Amino acid sequence: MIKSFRYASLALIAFVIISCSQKIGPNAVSLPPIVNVDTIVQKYNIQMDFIKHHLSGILIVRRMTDKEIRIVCSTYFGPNLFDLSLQGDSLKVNSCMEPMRKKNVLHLLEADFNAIFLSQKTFKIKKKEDNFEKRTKGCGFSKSIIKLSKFAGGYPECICIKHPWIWTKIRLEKLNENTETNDAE
Amino acid sequence: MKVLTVFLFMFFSFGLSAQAQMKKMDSVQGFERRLRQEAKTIQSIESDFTQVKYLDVFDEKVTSKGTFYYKKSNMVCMNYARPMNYQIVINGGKLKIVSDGKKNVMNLTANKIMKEMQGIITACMVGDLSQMSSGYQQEYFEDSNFYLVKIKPMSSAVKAYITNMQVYLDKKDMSVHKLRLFETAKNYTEYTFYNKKFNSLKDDKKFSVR
Repeated sequence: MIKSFRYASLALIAFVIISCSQKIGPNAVSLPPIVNVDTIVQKYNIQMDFIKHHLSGILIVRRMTDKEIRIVCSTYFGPNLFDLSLQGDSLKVNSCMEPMRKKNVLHLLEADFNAIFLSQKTFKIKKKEDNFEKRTKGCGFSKSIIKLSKFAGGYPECICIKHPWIWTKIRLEKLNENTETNDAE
Repeated sequence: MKVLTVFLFMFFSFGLSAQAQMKKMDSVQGFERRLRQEAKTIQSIESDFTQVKYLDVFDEKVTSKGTFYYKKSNMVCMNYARPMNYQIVINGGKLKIVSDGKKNVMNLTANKIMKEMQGIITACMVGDLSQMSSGYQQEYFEDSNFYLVKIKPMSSAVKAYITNMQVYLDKKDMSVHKLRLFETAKNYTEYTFYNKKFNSLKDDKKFSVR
């Protein structure tokens, strides 16, 4: 596990260096956030692939203040994988389990959560249909592809962010009330 | 993912009030003797469970349901059915996780802390507390229906994952009724076990880690 995260880390370093150096043109159009985060908790099934390693759990998101979006990822089994805050467009790590507590893994999460929860100027819409949208940015190591599907109320219930050159992928699927229960025995 | 080797949790207010009614156990030796005797008769456990994770930061709970299987010795399988299909199998020193059709098998023996966590959680889930090492501080309580054992790890390495555990054992059969694992003072996962069947599992098929 740790070894595989070291490989992921190396690939992610390249991603971070290149993506940080991307320029945004003065006339770039801002795309609205993919997910509208408000003060009501939203839950997603999250699947993360880092090179050959697969992590999964439940992502819980809520706007805490105008400037803070709290993002907690819990394993299905119970313990938290990470607890992060997006403050503006920067990431604050409230807690994070090993082996995810790596600078470059966190940079990737920051970039991906920014892309999902905040307005974006760096992505371009490549394809748009009634129930599907594809956005891309960058090329080579910094290439990111976002696929959105299962739209409800104008927002996608299925979000997939792929970084093909560094073999990483994050997939979110919204958990609705009919797929979960709030009653304990 | 190793985290998954770790823990469990909700109903905070209920928990506090339930604990408030509990008194210190009269005879810890008698309790431990009975626990050892009952453990000897248990070869397997099959039960439904509800898992509730409480997140203090959102004042929110996440509820999951599934089926729990245990077979002597040291084999545990948790099949989650809601809100999604997910499976965790612990068999000897291996951990298998099946999620989204993808299978991950990990060897726990190389990591001392993970091995310890696996042992302690398994012990708490099946009520075999006699296996607990001296690295855990234990307090004993009871009411008319349940025994409650509060367990605090002494090791800071274990405390990084679990600050304390509360195991509720049913006085009727000494089986685990509820297990609450605290990650922090206010964030915990609670497992409630029900529809229990004892010694019903005939083979080890459910515990395959291949």
